[in-house]
Amino acid sequence: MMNLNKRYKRGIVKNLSFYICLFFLTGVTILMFLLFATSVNGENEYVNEFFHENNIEDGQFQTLIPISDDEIETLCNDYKVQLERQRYIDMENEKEDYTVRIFEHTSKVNKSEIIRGKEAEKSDEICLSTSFAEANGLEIDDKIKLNNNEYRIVGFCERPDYLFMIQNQMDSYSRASKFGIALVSQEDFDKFENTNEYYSVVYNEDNMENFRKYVNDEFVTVSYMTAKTNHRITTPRATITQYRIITNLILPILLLLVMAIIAVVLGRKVSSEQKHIGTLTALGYRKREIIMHYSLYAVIPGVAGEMIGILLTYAFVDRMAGKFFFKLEKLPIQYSISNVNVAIALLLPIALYMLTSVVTVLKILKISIVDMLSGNHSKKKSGGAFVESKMKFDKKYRIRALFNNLGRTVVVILGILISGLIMALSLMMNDSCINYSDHVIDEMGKFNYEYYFTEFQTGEVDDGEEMLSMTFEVEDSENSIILFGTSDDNPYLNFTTVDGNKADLKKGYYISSMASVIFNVKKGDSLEIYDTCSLEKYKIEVEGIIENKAQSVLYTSRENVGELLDIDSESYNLVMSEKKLDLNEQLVSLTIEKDGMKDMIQNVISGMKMMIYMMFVFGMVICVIVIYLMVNMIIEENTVTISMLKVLGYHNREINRITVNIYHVLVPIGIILSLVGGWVINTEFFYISTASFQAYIPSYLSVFSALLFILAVVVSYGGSLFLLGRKVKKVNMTESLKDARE
Amino acid sequence: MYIEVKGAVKKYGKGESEVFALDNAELSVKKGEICVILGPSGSGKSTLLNMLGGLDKLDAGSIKIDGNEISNLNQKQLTEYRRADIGFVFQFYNLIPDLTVRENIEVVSDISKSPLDINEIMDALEIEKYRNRFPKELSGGQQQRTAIGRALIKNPKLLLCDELTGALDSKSSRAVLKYIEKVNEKFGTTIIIITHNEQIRYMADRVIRVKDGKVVVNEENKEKISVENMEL
Repeated sequence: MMNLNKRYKRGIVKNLSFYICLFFLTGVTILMFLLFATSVNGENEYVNEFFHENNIEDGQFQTLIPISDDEIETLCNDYKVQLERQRYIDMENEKEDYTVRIFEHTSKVNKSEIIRGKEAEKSDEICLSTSFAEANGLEIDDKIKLNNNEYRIVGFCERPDYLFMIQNQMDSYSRASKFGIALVSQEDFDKFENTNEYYSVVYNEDNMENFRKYVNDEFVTVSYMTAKTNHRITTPRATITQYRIITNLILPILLLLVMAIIAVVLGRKVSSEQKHIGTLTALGYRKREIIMHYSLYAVIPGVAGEMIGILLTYAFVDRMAGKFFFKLEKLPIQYSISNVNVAIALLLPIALYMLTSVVTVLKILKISIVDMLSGNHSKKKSGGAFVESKMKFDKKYRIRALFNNLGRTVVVILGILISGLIMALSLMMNDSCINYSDHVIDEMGKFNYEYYFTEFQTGEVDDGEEMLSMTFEVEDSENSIILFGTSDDNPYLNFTTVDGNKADLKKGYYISSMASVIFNVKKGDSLEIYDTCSLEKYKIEVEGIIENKAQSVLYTSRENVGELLDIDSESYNLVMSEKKLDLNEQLVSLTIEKDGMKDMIQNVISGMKMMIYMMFVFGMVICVIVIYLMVNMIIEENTVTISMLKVLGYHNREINRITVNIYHVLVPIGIILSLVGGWVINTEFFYISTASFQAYIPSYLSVFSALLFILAVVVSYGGSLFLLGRKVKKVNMTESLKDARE
Repeated sequence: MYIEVKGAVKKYGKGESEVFALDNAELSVKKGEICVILGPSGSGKSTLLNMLGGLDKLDAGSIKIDGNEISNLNQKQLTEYRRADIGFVFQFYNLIPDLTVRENIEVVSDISKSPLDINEIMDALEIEKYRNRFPKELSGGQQQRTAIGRALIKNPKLLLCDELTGALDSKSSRAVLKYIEKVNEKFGTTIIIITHNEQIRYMADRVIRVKDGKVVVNEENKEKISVENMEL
């Protein structure tokens, strides 16, 4: 066996390009699998631990009557809750155009953690959130000016309720360069005037409803938000969950498919050894020895590829893993590759490759030795279509090559499909986000500004539309919905329903298309919503769905809102306008700019860019390698035919057309299937991500991207054929014919 | 008798396409003989060789080698039989292309209980100087000598040669046949050669003629001459 095993090294050297393809494809697939899995597991474990260690809130609320320290103490004892006042102030740097929310130190709920450096203990010291500092190029010992105060940065900190760093709850995405949080010394914080405050609560027992009712009765709840509807808290969890789906479902399928492709290729390689297997059998080699020999043949590319993949993962994991969670704060996670995943990465390829090899050898060993030796045992279906047809020989040959080797044909389609899917998906994700930012957001209506007031107003606002607005929690959902009370002739909103009609708001309640996805409601369904303060429930019949993929909204007339909530329908607490309004800042609690929403999506796109490029390149690599492997196989399996055609006077170009270029017809099929599959997956991905993204992003692929995709597949395919063109030239007429049997 | 074949039947195909490759074939060969089996294409001589080598099984009849019945051996036993007793030389050499001359021979010495000295074999076959060459770097004659070396290294009791000069020119053929003759003299190996080439019968101790699956002639060769003096 020792001497026979010398074939391994020589076989690899002789078919270096073939084996490099196998090593590389195995390695890259394992790298993707391990990198993703490690990243998701690391982030998941760290975030869960971070939430637990720093006692993340179950809910937060504001009251009309302040709750004193003693009353907090009493509430904690009576309701077995942990309750703590959270105070903050927003400070700006107008020159740099950013806002920093400085929090007071907390000791019970939503505790801050110093990630690097030290706590701000002395006057003029500050700790900043990591992503904000990084986005603005701020390091420890740098100075930062906020309002008129200058601080020295002494450390970086994070809060569990601000891992998704959005300034307002209505924001969809963080803008690290524009907003961050900070901690200063208690001494400095006490100097601030006009700080904001709310209360954060953690329930130790199942008594949330009683507690909330009591607080509302005693202190008049102004707003209440559960952790389940707090995007700053749900987004990290939802993001991790999404990536877990990719890691636990899509990547293993991809891994299995790629491994299956390689296994098929290896199986065919072993199949081509039929004559040698026959010779070894005739020479007296036992079945076990032959199986062992060919199993190791298959194990080599598996082990080498796995090693490449695992080593690359170790090399890149710290630099790359966190990039998938660009939406969240950068946490000091020590990524460790799970033993289970390493075991999967180690065992799966070897097992699949060995299994294929063993099955192939066993199949060959069932053939009589005489047939093995003669090499005449038919592996393929003989004959084929168009026997009587007057069609030209080359066309018949190509058609038969496709249908007589269905396994090979399926692998090629699968290879183009998988690689095409990855490429198409990456382009579609990018285009869908751009399209959303450029067009879908504008489809909401003409407004550019939304001004939310601290309390109900009366009177008219010039150049603006007065509206009623109220946030509600939704029964059996972790998401909230905003109720808009407005008139049908509001010039800033689009009231066209998805079935093309104009909504009649006086008639009832309409839901935005984004909310209809989040809450899974259709026209005619009912939705149970409840007041976040009083917990009073309302059942809303949905009259129709209004096209708005950027907001989770219920639309109705102001009169209907007044009647539902028993408030003056002539009053308002929201004004929409096309241009910026000069309103009393003291009265405005929140301003939302449409451009800000677009900026956020742009941030997402730029954050996703690296992942998109990686996916695109990965897809191209798979495409090139799969085509290369399969066409390489065709050439090796048809050496005698190619040689014979050369003897008969065929030019290399003509031989290529007959034997190598048989898969041209599969390329458009692969492209169409990839586009359809990519579209379906992309649509589904954004559909299930609607709540987490706070955006219902429709699938979109620009003409440019579609052409780029087609070009990439064609170039990958053409590139492989070009590389293999030389191989056809190398086929020696005499050598291959000499080997032919009588 | 060292080899005794009685009533050997081997059929291929079914119904109308049924063909008798061996049809009640009978033969016997003494130990240490060179036996040449002659016959036209399709006469059944290769089938006969395959049966003797344990590559295929009879449908009926018996084959005794050195007194042992091999026609009723199972696949595992046949593997052991080939492993221990049989050397094969094929028309198209069947060398493993990515192993050198020496390594191709060692492929068999690796699995032999008491292999001969490889250097001695290579010397005898005059392939020592090519020991590190790969099959594609050799002429047909050199490849066939390597194949003979591979067959002989285990010191087989029976050497089966299938058209061993079929792909060679007359010069290479003579050289290869001389080695076969030498092996027979030196090791007393029983050798069966199947061939189309009538001239080769002159080197045989026994000549067998096969036609339509039947052995029509099985006689000792009274006119045996050395390969050196043969016309090829």
